[in-house]
Amino acid sequence: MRAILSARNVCMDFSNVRVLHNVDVDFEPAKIYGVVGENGAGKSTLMRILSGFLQPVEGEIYFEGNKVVLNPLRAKALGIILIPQELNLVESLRVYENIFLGDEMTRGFFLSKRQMIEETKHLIAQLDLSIDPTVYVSQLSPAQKQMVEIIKAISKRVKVLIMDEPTSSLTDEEVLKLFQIVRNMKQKGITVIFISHRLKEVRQIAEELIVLRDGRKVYQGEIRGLSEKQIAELMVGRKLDEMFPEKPVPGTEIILQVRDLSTADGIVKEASFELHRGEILGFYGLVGSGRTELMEALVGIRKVKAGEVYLFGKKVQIENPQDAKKLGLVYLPEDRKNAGIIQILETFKNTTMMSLEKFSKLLMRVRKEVDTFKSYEKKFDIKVRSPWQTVGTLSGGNQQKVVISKLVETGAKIFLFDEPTRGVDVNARHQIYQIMHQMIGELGCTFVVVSSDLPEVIGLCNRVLIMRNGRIVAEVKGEDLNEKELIYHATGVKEVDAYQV
Amino acid sequence: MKKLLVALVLVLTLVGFAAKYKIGVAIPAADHGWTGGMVWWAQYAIKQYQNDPDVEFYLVTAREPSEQIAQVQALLARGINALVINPYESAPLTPICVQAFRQGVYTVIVDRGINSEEYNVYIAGDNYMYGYLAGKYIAEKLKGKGNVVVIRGIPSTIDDERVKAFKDAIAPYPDLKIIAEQPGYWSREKAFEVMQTLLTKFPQIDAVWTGDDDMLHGVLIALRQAGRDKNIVLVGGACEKNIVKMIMDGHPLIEVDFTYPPNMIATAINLAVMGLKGQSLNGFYQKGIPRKITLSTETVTRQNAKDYYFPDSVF
Amino acid sequence: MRIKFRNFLGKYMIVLVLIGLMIFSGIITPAFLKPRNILNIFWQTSYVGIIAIGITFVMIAGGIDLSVGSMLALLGAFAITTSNKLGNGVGPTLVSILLTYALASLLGLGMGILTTKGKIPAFITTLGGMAIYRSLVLNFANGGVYMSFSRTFSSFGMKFVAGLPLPMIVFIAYAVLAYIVLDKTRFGRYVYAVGANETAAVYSAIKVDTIRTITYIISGVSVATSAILLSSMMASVSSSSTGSGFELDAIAAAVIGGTSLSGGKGTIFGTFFGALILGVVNNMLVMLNVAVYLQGMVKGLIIIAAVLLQNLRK
Repeated sequence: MRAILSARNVCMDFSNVRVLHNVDVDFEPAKIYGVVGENGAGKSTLMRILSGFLQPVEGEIYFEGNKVVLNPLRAKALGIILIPQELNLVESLRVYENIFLGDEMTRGFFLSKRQMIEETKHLIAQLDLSIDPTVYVSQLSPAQKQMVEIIKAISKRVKVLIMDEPTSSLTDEEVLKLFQIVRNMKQKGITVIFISHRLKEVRQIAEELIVLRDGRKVYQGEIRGLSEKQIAELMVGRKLDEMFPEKPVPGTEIILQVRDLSTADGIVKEASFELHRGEILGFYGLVGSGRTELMEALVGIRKVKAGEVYLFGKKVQIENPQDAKKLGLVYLPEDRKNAGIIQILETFKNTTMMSLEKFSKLLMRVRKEVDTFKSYEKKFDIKVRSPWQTVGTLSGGNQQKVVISKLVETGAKIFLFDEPTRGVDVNARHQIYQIMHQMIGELGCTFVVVSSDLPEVIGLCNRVLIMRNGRIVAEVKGEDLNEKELIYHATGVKEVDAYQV
Repeated sequence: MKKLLVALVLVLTLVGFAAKYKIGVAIPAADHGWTGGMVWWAQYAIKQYQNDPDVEFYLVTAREPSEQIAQVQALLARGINALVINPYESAPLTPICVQAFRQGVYTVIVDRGINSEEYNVYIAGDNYMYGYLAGKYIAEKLKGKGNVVVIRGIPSTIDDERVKAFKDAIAPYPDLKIIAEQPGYWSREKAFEVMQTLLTKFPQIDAVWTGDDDMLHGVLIALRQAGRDKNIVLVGGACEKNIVKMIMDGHPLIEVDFTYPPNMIATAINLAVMGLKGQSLNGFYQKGIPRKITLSTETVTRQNAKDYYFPDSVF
Repeated sequence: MRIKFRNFLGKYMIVLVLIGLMIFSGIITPAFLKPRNILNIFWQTSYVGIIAIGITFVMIAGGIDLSVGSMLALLGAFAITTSNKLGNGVGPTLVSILLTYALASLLGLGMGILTTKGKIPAFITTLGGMAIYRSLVLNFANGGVYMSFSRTFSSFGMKFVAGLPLPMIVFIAYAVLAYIVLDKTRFGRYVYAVGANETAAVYSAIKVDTIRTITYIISGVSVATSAILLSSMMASVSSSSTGSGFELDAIAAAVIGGTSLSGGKGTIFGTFFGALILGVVNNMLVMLNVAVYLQGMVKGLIIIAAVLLQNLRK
């Protein structure tokens, strides 16, 4: 069958970093495609190119066999609609106003409100939904908002509908409803491109699978016959067992002990745990369970109301990050872009930022800074054109390595890593695990890893503590360290299907 | 602030119930030398009546038009018999002044006019002669020949009128050339900067006219610093006390000054008292006080300077 | 090679803009290029220039200081009043200068603490400072003028050293010192970090509030330097006009020189030349005898063009 939408040899750069490499891909009419890939694999970028929001630096787009140069308006006119991950609704407008935003129906000079409301009702009925067209979008649930985006899409003449992570905020029931709508659309001859990191869902809905890895298309073909594990391995490009190094063998000495720690804002409640020298201790939990807040409290960024902290057997008082740094306790924040790196500063200045005392007497010794950076550049395999390149122009993985080099340079012994591999490509992710092991072996470091990535938690950590509603509710290790157990403790509900890989 | 003022007026009501004539004086607060002078002169004039049991004064100063409106409202509520006001701005203050006049309050408008003819007396300085006399003096002093620099104030209608008059005065002298006309924004520092630059550009400058005496100070410093403080005629305006003192002491370069007197407020206060008491102006056959008065621009020289020197005034 | 040339152009474009402006003015009025006039430009620029250097620190750290103009009047009036009280002579003059610096540091410290600990936007605290300082100056002089009666105090502002006006020498020396502090010290590095990304600076164990506060003290000290030089030269401070509009000129100088209004970017080199461009424009308006009512437009166009030219390279 002839493709309705194709990309040929498409390349894309962000700040001189190539994020898409010569991607060829074809989409046929009336077919449902699943697009998967790790964070930063280039899924969203490719989709934004296909819907005209980004212009590729190389390559062409074909629509119904004709070469086209897309912009958002042109794409919309052709019937290519993207529902982005961050929904595009105006919260302060009503549902029908959002649906007809930019294509308002008019009668003479005036808006034809009634006609628009009727039309919206009709569309809602078509999808078998129950949403009042006249309520404000801000009053809708996340799922309803997602549905409004879909209504908005089908209110136009849509031929290709691209949905970027549409299910991330939906309940199981709502997901089923969405899938029904998607299948109906297929019946009408619409091509649906479905991006998700929930492999189970992708297997349920998609007919054809496209896998992206580090900006390259590594697979396109039938989805039938592929297991979730096989898809996951296509995504990371190696056997899952090879992703993680052997687990370290921790010592017996307790180097960090936390007793009944509660934060002033009440988010963390009476958290107690122990950390052994040379171990990797995982923290798992749902978003908002208090993991990040606990880490921030430990390094003095978040105010502590009660509780005691013992470092190397001595009771310590940590009021601010400066205290923590002096005691050899450092934190890698989960929000790398806003809290980890200083984007517009040169790369080597980021590396030395926390230990400038070492590099200055009266004046800064820039030569020494650059030399130090270069040693990390080699050791951590940081890909950078020059030490003076601004760090914001590096890829996610390289940025994260720079942040790690900054922490290591302080000479700290205990590292609290919050989502260390979020938005990092597979290769760099593997390297970051190696670096951690290297630090344990060579420098005698110890790690706490907060992560929402189940395979990471399972593959990397000796023990995992699970937080729920601000409390540490369980510890799992050894045989029990598996997805089912972790999710059970994190949600408090048995029999929940794990969509996550 | 406004509440405080109302309270103040109320207190004054209780204390001073005896006086026959109550006169409100509303002027802008001292935000530069000239308005500072006006405040000083208002206080001075009021003090002259301290032994007169028939009159009583309420002096208020405002930092913006809306504040002045509120003040006048409070004064009217107090039941004043006369209002002496230097409006902060013409348009916003017009309605309240008209209201005062219609209520039968003897209304004296000072310097900045209102957009209405409904008042008793309007007294103002003479911007035209202020510029004209300066031009005439320079033309005569240079015998109609030479290079003149004009450093004017903030470009505005008042400033335009003065500069136009200056040019009218030197028009009959074709050999008298204005070689530069630049704004000094009524600021010493700016006038210094402009003069410094002009001195570099022009090897021969015979006279400088600045829009006011403040800027003349800046010009003097520039001349002294460049070593060109001789053979040059300098004229400012408005009789700032330090310049008047220089004239009095026989300054070699500054021999005259022209008034645009802040003490017009004192005159206005006197006119209000006379109007209330039904007195006439000496030498006038008419009984009433003239309705429109343009004060003459007076020439200050070494001979009469001591009559214009008020060391205690801020201006 | 091309990249190197472009980097070079990017860094020194502002110098080229300045030279271009000067050549243009020189062609129209040869008197513009007289050495004497060039010295004058440096001299006239130095007052705003020194303040702009201080404001550059504040702006790179992500703040703004609108109070500098009124503060200039306040500190100048303070210097004159104390030196009048203390009398003639080098000793008393030095004491009054030191007192002025002390007051300036205190005011800067106050601004810094209000913005950082009080969590009030710098725009508001310094706008408040602007109104308060001006009001104080007006109040103590009843709108009049502060005159200096100390011959020592009112003499050095006009001094020439080695054929150069003292304010110009101070301006250049101050710029060199500021360049070293901002570019070559740990503190300078922290200033950039705090302005570029406050959150990341907090997580990097940098004392963000302290760094910010110090930038306001630097701004205050810069204003004091300018105030002492200016009030000494004029032997007076006008309570209404002295320093008014300086805040905008100083911020403009920094921005023309490439300082970002949102923090994290800027150099002393850029601010120095940005201030000189403003000085050249002001001088040019007078030299070319530009019509009074058109001066604002000419000035505005040149400033926009100067920034535009620098952006074109990107």
